[in-house]
Amino acid sequence: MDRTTRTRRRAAAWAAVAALVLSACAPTLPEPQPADVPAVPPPAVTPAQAERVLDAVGATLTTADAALSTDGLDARLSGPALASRTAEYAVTSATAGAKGLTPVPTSAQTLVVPNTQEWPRVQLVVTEQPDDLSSPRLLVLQQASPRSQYMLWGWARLLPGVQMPATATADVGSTPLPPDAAGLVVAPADVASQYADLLTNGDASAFASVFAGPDSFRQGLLTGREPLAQVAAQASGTFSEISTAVPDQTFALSTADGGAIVVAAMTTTSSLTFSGATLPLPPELAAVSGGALAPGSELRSSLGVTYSDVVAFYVPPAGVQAPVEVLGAEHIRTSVTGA
Amino acid sequence: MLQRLIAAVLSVLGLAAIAFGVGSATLWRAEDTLVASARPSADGTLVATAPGVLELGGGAVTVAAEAVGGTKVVLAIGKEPDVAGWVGSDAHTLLTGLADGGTLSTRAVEGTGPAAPDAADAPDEAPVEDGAQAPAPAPAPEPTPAPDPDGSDLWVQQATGETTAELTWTPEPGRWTLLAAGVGEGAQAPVVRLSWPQTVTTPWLVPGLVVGGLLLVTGLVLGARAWRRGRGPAGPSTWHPVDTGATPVVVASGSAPLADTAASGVRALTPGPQPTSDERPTVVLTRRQLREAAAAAAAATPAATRPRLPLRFRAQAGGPASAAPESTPPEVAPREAAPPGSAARTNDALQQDALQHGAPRDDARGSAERRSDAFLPAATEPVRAADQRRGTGSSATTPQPVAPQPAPARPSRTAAAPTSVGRRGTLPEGAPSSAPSRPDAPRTPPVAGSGAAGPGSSSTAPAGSRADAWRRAWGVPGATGAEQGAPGPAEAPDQGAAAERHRSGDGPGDGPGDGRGAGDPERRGKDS
Repeated sequence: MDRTTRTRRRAAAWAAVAALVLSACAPTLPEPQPADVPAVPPPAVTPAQAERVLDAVGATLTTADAALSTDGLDARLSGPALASRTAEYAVTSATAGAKGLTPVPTSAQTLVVPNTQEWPRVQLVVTEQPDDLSSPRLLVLQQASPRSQYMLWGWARLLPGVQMPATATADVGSTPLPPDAAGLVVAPADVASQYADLLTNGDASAFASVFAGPDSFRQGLLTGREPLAQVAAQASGTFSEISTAVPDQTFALSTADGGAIVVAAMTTTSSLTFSGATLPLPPELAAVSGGALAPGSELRSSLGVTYSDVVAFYVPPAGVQAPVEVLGAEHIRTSVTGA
Repeated sequence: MLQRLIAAVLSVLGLAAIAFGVGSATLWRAEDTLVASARPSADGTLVATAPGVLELGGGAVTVAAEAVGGTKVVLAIGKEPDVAGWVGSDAHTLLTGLADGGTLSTRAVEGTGPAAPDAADAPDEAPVEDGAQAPAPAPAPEPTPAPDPDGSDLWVQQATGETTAELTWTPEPGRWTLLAAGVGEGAQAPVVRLSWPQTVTTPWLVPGLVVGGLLLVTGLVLGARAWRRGRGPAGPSTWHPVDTGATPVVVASGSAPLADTAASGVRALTPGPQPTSDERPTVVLTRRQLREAAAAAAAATPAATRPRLPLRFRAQAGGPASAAPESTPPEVAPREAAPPGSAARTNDALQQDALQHGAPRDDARGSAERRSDAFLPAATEPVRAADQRRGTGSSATTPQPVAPQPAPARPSRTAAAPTSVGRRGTLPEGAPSSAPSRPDAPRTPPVAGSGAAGPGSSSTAPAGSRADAWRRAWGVPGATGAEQGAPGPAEAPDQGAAAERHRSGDGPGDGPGDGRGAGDPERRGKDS
């Protein structure tokens, strides 16, 4: 028994040795050795990819702009951007170019790329200054799902004198924040609604203190209301302008200091009622009425104008005694109703 | 033999090693590219790779895809989450690695989403590890068009083609995967082939050549040495000492006939004394010598009586007698100059002694010869032998058959002697003489002097103790011949030996006219 076990052991040892030797001789098939899954996801797009996306957007815009046609525009535009551009085409067509298109340059100055593997993905692009020397645009590109393309969701003109907060470079990527993200002065989801309240109610708003002093966008809105308010006063009518945040159209990317850049869509509705007077409808308004109002027609009782707004904020991190800052905004009339 | 075998084995091994080295670098050299392909194993139109598969080959990978249905093919490379996200819940084939040298292992992934309801219904083969399987069964016609990844922003690299597409991907840090899709109506998942350039090393070439070369050279050298040894002329190194108890026996049998003629008693005597008389262990005879001796013997036997003449002549003449035949005028001069060697002189002196005293001389002779052997192996005597031969004729040679065998020599001699002269005389004397060797020798010579044959044999016997053995070794039978007739037993052996030596010396190149050989006779002449 002892001997057999010993022989067996010996045999096993020899077998093991032989196996080792033979296996050393055998060609080893390479095994897949993928890189480790990074703890922090890499940027969703490489700079090259981002550039390609911008080029595609630019090409689409250029083509559509040239034809003043929305054909194919939805391939690369969505949301407020698509609505705005569509309205602009109508206006431009109606005015024979008197009211031009908003320049949307697509050459990037700064990329704010999300480091995420989820969808939707949103990246921000600060463009070069447009040819008309207006302020650079902050483009918002969104990929809603894996099989969809990056779309130009919206753009905002950077307000004069605004300093963009420092963000992570494109090869690192910025963390996208959920709408209810904590750690900020204001949760991203609430920023737009609070700002809308401020716009609607002015300094009487409860959130006036949240935002930095009157920004140029807000001031512009206020100044735009005055003529209409005067008309309402003269024609024994009323004038109101209400801004509301568009639900689920808020995107936030963290900044280097732990704050966030929040981009949100809003809708501003102006309602003017009057009596005992007529209001000739300018062509640029008639153009966005969807054909309901003929250019040059006279309104006798009311005028309703809807604007599509894109506003970008800088939201400081919580604990920092600093107000939310408006970085940029776009305010484009998209529809007109009247009677 | 063993050496040759080893040489052959080494050479063969060397050649084999060289062949292996060269073959490993040529015949069995690995491909420059590592190619692996896979047929889709799952439903749907999509094929994706697992992370790391593209980097299997280590270098830039060339991806080629061919549509099974001849439709449009799209190849795309993107980050793993991007590809996975794009594929989503669709059924697809996942390439997971290398199954063997040329095949990619695949895994069928069932579609779970609404995008591929038909695929979900189909009974799906569990993970299939064989990429070379039959092409995926034609998926049920899908209501929705096959997804087209063409142009997605997700891809960092992409190729599109009708029926085939190809792209090359240089690995970058990160987890990158490939998506291949057949696009179009009735599209199926394409066949994907990945190929990597691989640096093929030939690690066995140089070692094979070096080791093989060394083995081969060693084998050749050994073989050459063995061959030369086997074929080449026998140099001095080939003179191996041979313990020949046997040699003498052989010759003895050969000489037996001679002995037979003599009385049987002689034979009886001879065997006894031989061993005793041969005190030295070895008797050296080359085959050649044996051959020569045999030949000489054959030639000389008839003339066995001749030797007597010169010897007798000498004996009669006493000292001076020898001068007549020996002194050959031309040879004299050179020889004198040549043999200043002490050995030669001693020889002469001894010879003189021998002539005068007979027995003692012989003994002395033996020693002298031994000495002289050391310095001048065959030189001194051969000449003499030659001279004697001339003078004596074949008498010197006659004994030769006997010579080859140390022991037998005697019997033959004795045989010869008795036959010619008288048996009785020889028999008694021969026996004692052979046994005591030297001591006896002196006795007999005097007798020999009177009786030609008897003493001759006896005299040789004593010489046989050492000198005789030496002679025999050299196949010098001449002694017997000389002895028979020779009055001076001492000289007789000498001459015989000389004759033989001379003969054997022929090979080496000692001519009969050699300086030394010539010198001796002269001296003898003087002596006498």
